[in-house]
Amino acid sequence: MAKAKILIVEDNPIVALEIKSALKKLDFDITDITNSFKDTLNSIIKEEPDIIMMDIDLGDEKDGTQIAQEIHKSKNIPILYLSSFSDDETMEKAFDTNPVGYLIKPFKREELKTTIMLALFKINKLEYENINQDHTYIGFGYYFDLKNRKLYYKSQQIRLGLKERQLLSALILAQGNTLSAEELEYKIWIDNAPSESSLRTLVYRLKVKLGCKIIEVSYSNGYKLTYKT
Amino acid sequence: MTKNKFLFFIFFFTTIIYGKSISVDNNISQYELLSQSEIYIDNTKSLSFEEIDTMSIEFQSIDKTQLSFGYSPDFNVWIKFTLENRTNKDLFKILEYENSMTTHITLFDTQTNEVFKDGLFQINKNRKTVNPIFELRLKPYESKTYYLKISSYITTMIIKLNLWEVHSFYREELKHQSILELFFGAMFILAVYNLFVYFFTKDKSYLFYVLYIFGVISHHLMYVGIGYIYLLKPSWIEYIIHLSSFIVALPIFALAFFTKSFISLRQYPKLNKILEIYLWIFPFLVSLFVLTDFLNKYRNIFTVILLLYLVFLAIYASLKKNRQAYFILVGWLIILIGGMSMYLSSTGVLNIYKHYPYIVETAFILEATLFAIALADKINRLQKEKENINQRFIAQQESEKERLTLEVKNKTRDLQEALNKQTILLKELNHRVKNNMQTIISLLRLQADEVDDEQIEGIFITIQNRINAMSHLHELLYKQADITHINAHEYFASVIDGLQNSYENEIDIYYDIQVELDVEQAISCGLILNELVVNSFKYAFEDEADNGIINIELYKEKDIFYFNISDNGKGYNPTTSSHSFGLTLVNNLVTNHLKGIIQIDTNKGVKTQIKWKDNG
Repeated sequence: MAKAKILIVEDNPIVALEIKSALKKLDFDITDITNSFKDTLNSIIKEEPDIIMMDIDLGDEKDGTQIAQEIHKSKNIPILYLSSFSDDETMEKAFDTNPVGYLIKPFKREELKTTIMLALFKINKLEYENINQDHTYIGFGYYFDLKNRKLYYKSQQIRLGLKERQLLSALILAQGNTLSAEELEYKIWIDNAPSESSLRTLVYRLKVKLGCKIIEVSYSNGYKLTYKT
Repeated sequence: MTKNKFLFFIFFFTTIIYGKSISVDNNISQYELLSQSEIYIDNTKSLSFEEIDTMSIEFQSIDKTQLSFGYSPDFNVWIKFTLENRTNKDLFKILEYENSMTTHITLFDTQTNEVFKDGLFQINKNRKTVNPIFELRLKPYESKTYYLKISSYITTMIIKLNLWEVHSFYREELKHQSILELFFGAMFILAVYNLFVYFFTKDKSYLFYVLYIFGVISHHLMYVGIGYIYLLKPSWIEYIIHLSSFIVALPIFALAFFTKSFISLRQYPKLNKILEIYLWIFPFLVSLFVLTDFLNKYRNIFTVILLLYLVFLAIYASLKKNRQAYFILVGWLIILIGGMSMYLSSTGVLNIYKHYPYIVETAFILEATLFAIALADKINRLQKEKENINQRFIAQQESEKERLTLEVKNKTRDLQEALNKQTILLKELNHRVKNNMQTIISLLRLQADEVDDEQIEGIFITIQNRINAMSHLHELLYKQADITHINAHEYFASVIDGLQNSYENEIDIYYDIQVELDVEQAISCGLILNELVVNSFKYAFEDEADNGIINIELYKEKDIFYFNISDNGKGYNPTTSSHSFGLTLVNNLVTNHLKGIIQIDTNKGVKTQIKWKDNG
């Protein structure tokens, strides 16, 4: 298999350099580092990258999500966001462009590694093992092993925290029905009522890890899985 | 009051004519007698009819149709006249003494020696006429001489004599009384009507007006004589006459109060003060005349002064453009015209009074009606003013409300704008902090990439984890509204999650955290948590199959925070510890920053207990 080619769109040269260094260690090809819409488009045409690491705030006329939209008009290159924004508004905007992942700065290299691997799985750049028939399919290529409470993207395991595992299995067991915040809080924390924002924070962490809108949030009603294919 | 117009003292002497007789018949309905009679003034007040008749007293001719002697003249007046029946029939005539106020009138018939008495203090019981009358009877061709003895106590003495044909007299008398009743009826209705208006409006002007009208009515009842005949018992009359100064003063007194309140005299403080003082002493001044008869001639002087002052006030206020004062002034003008025409009539310049003798009554009714209209006008105007004020007030309230609403709107918008700006600013700031942290971490990692030494690499990872622990706090602060406190559970969860991702192992971490921390404490706690968990990860469990468990609890009891971390690992020997820097950091943070106490038990796994007092 040929090395995956990755384009880095990042306006901070130190951060760009570090991403490049980290990805090289993981044995990827870095086609280019750009920091504007124009350069990015030119580079894409010239180098034809397999995947794009996209910063959102570029200080340019177009931000990362807008560049992604422009790219998707002509080419179907998967986008992996890497941004310090973690507000709902920006994240929703990013998720609208169907990214293969969303990393929050400051990122960890382990996260970068797993997310990139996931992204490559998603675009079939990597081979994957047979899918275990016992696993429950939850959409977007994700499978969940209810018995051992493990999450897979196809055959690639994705590490989840304890509470994240509890949240996901509760939502899967609800089979697409909406669970209220109170119900979820009770299932996850049992006796120790958490603060108001705990559940939201937990849902947010899971969403960031999966990099997609797998959980539908309605603040008035509650939470449910979307089961999109 | 108009009485004063009649005050004339007439003394005149003309040629004495004896035996002059007045021929009478049935064809002429009314003879004027006085000018054809003779007069004698008895200053001794002691002469009797017999003495007058027998003594050769020199009567003097009069040549006047009316004689006035003023208040309570101190003499008796004798009038002598002779009537001659020129017809061949008996003649019945009525002698009218045309003044109701004279107190004593006595008629002597020289032929029959009969004596007839009348006058205010000795009213003939059968009389229903306003003025004293005497019935005279003359046989065919008979010539008869009569004497009238006239005196007046207290009241004014005015002498006017008419000889009437009987039917003509009663016809005229009936007409006269009807007109007077009409006058009294009209005045009474005005008074009662305005009394009710007073009850409804509570405007004192009305009350004074009503008092004034009643005063005028009672005075006029006395003045024209109706009151003596129909309303008062003869025995009361003398008593009432004693109070005549009050009867004259009462309407003026009421009028003064009416004027005062009606033209709002308070706006002219000096004039108001003068009137008030005068009104205070006025009753005492008037009372003087009741106590003594001596000053009777001047008994109305204070009333006249008050009257003049009221006229002055009306003129003054009119000049000051006081609308109400115009009405009062016109009222005075009406009274003045009435008085003037009466005066002119009595002096013979004008002849109105003869054709229309009710000028005074008409003037009073006109004045009373005018005042009633003026009052209605005043009430109307006050009401309009009140309405205007109300409307202005409402309009003002409306505009004030609008202004406030607008202000609230503007302020709210400003605040909202400021808040939005603040929110954007805060977001921008956090964004930059996180970007900077990323840059720091990137620099560290770039440097670490250049190093092959595993130990040095480990150091870099440790530093990264410490920076990460702080950046998690920022991430949480960035996502919540309150930037002074943080939910420790969420914070610890993200730190632990980060560590678990960083050290891929199968160690289970259980945590039970239910407190809020202020940001300062949270930074220290995050770093302490980071160090202790990393220590356990690194040193407590030799291989991953150990089923390692780390327990974390943080709770608060009565201002004391308890923060316990323990693992089920192998523990370590505190004296030969190779991971001392992390512990030094923890010790330092606990004692210097949290001002707390730390206790580490390494016998059975590692058990760290930290407690500190919450100062926030």
